[in-house]
Amino acid sequence: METISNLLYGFSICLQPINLLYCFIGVLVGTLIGVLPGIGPPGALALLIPITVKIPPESAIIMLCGIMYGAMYGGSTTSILVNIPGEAASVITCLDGYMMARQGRAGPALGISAIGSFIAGTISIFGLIFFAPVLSNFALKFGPPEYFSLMIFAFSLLIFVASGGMAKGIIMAVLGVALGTIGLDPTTGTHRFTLGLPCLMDGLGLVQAVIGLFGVSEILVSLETFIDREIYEKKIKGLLPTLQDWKDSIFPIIRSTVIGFFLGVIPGIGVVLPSFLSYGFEKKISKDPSKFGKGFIAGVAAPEAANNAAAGGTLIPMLSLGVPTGASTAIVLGALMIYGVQPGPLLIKESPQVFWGLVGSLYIGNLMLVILNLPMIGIWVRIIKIPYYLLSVLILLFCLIGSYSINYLAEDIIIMTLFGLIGYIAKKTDFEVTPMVFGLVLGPMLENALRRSLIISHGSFSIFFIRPISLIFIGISILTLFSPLFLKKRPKVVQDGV
Amino acid sequence: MKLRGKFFYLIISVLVFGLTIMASICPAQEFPTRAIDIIVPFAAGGGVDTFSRTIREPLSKELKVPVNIVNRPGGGSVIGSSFVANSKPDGYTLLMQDLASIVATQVITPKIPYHILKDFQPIAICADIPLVFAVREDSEFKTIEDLISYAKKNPGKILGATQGVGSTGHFELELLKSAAKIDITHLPLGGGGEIIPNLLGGHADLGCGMTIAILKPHIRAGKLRVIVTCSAEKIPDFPEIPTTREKGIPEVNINMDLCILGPKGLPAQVTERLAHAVSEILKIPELFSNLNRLGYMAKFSSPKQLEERLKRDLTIFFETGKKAGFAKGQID
Repeated sequence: METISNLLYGFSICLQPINLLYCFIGVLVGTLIGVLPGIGPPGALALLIPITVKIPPESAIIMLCGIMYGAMYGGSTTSILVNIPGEAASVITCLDGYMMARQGRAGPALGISAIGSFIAGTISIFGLIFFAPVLSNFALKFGPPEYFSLMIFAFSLLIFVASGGMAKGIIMAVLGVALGTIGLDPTTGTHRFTLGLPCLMDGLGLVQAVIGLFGVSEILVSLETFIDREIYEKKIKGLLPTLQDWKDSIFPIIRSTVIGFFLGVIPGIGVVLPSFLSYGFEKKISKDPSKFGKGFIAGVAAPEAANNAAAGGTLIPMLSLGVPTGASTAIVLGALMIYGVQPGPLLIKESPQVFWGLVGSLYIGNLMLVILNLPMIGIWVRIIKIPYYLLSVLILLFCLIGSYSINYLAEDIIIMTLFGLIGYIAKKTDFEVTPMVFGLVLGPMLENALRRSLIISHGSFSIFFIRPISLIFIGISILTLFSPLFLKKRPKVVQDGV
Repeated sequence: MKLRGKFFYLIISVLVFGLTIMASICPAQEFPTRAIDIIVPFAAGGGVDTFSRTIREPLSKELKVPVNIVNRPGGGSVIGSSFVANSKPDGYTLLMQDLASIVATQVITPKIPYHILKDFQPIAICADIPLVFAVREDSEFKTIEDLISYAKKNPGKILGATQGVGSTGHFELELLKSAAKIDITHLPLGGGGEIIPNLLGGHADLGCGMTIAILKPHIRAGKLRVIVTCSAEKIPDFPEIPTTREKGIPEVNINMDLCILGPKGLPAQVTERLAHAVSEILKIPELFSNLNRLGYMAKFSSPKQLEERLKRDLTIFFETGKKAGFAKGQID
């Protein structure tokens, strides 16, 4: 009962006209930066903080969080329309989303990603209200060994992400992991493959890599083909998902919400990994995995629900422990301190207007996003009717601005271009680039977790098997990897392999 | 009509030309005359960034020109710092950094493109931020003596978490190890606030490299405890926390003092003007209490004092890093 009265209190705060306005500005800015490749939530948050100093803390936090989850809505738009992820969390959406767009089904793809995001966002708010204290304690149980086993599990699902041959997928993932070793060695500080360049010290930027692999390579490939791409001339079939689409998506949305939310709660996981994992998971449990990667609507719904649920989940450690879960939450925590609100375990008690106001605004914000995004679909799908010789120039321009705007470094543009070439070669030789992004994201996380665990255990590998959570993940990974051997009907994905 | 138009243009161009010449040859106008960029060599949201954004407005009022905070992250902090080192020494491009980080970066980075003593002009120290050692509230180490005596009996058993190899926390840990002659296993975690969850979850025993501002809510909630501060003086809000000097290990003295530097070759009067402006704004009671709330103890130190601190810390850090085997830079 107390929760309900608190929630009503929250709504009383966020429904004040001025807070509604800030919420709307937040989700609108979020959607826009989500759509633009390169410019991510952390950059936008940092730019807006100086403006928010003069307004009450609850209004400011409502706006800043609106940017965080608004970006998850916008990120899928370019993935679907032009095969360029607006955010790293929408990489996996390219696989089926872009295929759907090529089949003239961009409308349903955009629709399901907005609706899936809405459902996930709504469920994760209730998770936030009812389970925040329990979940934050659960999240603390994740030390380096647990991260390592979770990463192993992620890799075991990775094999199912690639829709081409399994061998080619593994090669690209290994290449991604190899590229992920560039930078400082995490436990000795030795420079690895940095060529003495300061711009490589922090490792290859994920965003530059993603923009190059998807955006630039797409344009390079299109240069070869004859200018008018007949695929876009096809009639656009409907703007909203059909009944069959709903049937295909609703359970993946719910499952992915759960996966995304729980992973988001764990500090350091972020929103990228949950989207990959939910896709891999859906494909693994699907009766017909061969549908994925060919424009299957569940392949859009699942990752989009997961990244939105994860964005909600990341708020739990931030609000109940004062612990950042990623770059965006770290900035929001810093902002709270500027406003004079002490983030930390006492936040909910000491500043209830901030906590409950934010919770209420999450619900309103998600509603606004759906209302904002559904009518936009009609406009978005018209974008792909722009002649490609014009569109491609615009895309390239956005790619350039996007990768430059991260650090204002010309070197980042070179990195983007090199990844564009890698992506081009991969496309010409029928390799998929998604596993490479996966390796690039997971590799450094896996290495860090492994080496930290071994420091804790003084070099003994038994640490992964004596800690219960870690043991469970190792167990599931083994099951995932070897289940095709025991199942009578081998999943098609294995037969597809080269 | 046409003639008048031409005449008009002529007058305008003469005026514009004249003004341009005057602006360039007459330094009579006092520094500063245009916007000043303060480069923060980290992504937005960190401690240095928060501090810079807090003093931006008062500083701008004091100097009567706009002040911009520009984030230039990358390469640890090397990219932003070398940008300032290579900028024109006119006082319009400045660097905001914390003392421990800029020294640590110099010590650990091979082939670093600048030298903090040779390529920078120290301007001012603006605030004092002591680093502390923290443990879980229910930890068996109630005092630093408990920790030292346990570590003497069980070398390498305690896990000391830092933000990474060569981070300020790592230097803090190594200073403690060599001062108390003990062995603590170094657990390098990442930068983004990973130490606190690992401490709370019991995955590490000792948290290094954290400031009181970050720890305050956890101390008040009774989750974490600070056993010693590495500053010479006590922390005003927490008089019960002993200093390393009181505990007989004064060598463990490490502060993330926030300082402003400019490129080498800055005219003396420009350095003077900037230092004076900083010392003036730190006297504003409102800013002082604002900074205090964020965990920064506003304290002005002159360019000379900053230079001495840089020299002193560079020697200490280099020796510490050499001993622990991670000093890969050159300090000469």
